[in-house]
Amino acid sequence: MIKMSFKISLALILCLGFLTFFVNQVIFAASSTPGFRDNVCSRLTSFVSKMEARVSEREQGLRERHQERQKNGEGKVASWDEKREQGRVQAETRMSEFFLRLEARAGTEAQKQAVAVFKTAVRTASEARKSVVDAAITAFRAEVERLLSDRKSAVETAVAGYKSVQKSAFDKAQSSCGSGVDPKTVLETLRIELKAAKDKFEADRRAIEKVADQVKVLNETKKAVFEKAHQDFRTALARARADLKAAFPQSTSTTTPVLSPSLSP
Amino acid sequence: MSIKIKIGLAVGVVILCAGAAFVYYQYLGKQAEPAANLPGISPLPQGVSFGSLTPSVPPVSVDELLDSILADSAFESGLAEEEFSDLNQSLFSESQAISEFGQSYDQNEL
Repeated sequence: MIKMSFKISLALILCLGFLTFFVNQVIFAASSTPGFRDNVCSRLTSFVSKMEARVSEREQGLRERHQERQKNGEGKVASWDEKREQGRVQAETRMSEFFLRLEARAGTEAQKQAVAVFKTAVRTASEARKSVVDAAITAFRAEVERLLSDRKSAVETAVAGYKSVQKSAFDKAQSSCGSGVDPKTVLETLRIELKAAKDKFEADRRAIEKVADQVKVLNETKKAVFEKAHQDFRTALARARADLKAAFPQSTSTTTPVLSPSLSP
Repeated sequence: MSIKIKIGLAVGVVILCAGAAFVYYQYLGKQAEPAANLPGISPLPQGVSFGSLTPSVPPVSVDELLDSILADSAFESGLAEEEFSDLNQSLFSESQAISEFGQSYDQNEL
C-alpha cells in the first residue's frame, strides 16, 4: 500500500514538473517575440548597441588571434631554425672527430685514399641533403606566408562587408521606425537583411577555410621532398660505407673506429 | 659497555649509512641527465615526439657514425612536422574566432 502511494506520488510529481516546464516554454514563446515585435522601434536602439558592441568585440578577438599567431610564429620559426642549426653543428663536430680517428687508423696508401673518398662522399651527401631540405623549408614558408596574407585580406573584406550590411540594415530600420512604418514590417525587413549578411559571411568563411587544406597539401609536398632527400642520403651513405669496408679489414678493437656488418634500417 | 648500548650503536651506524647511500644515489640520479638533453637545446613540447638529437657520445664505428647522421636527418624532419603542427593549431584557433564572428547575430534575439 505504501509502495503504491509512493509510486503514484512520484508519478504525479514528475507529471507536474513536465507540465510546468511545458507551460513556461509556451508562455515564454508567446510573450518574447510578439513583445519585441510590438515594441521593435522602442527597443531597436538598445538592440543595435548590443549588436554593434558584440561585433566589435568579436572583431577585436579575431585581430588578437591573428596577431598572436604572427608573433608566436616568428619566434618559433627562429627557435626551430636554431635547433636545426645546432643539430648540424654537432653532427659536423661528430663527423670531423670520427674522420680524424679513421684517418689515424689508415695504414696503407689505399686505406688513406679510401678514407678520403669516404669523407668526401659522406660530406657531399650530407650537403646535398641539407640543400634540398633547406630549399623545401624556404619554399613551404614562402607559400604559406602568401596563403596566410591572402587569408587575412579575405577575412578583413568579409568582416568589413558584414559590418557594412549590418549598419545599413540598422540605419534602414531606424529610419523606417522614424517614418512610422509598421513595426512588424520593420522587424521582418531587419531579420531578412541581417540573415542575408550572416549567410554571406558564412559563404566567405567557407572559402577562407580552404586555406587550411591548402597548407596541408603544401606540408605533404614538403614531407615528400624530405623523405626523398632522406632516402637518397641513406643510399649515398650505404654506397660510401660499402666502398670503405672494402679497404679495411674487420677490427675487434673498441678504441679505434670499426666497421660493423650492416647499416641500421 | 652494556649489550644494549652496543646494539643501539650498531643500529645507529646502519641507519646513518643507509641515509648517506640514499642521498648519494639521489644526487647521482640528478647528475645522470638523459643524453638527449643537450645544453642550449630546449626539449620538444610535452606530448610531441619527433625523435631527438643524437646523443653527444662519439661514435666508435662507421655504422654508428652513419646511423647518427641519419638520425639527425630524421630529427630535422621531426622539427619540420612540429612547425606544421604548430601552424595548424594557430590556424584552427583563428578559424574559431572567424566562426564566432559569424555567429554575432542570433535571429532568435529578434
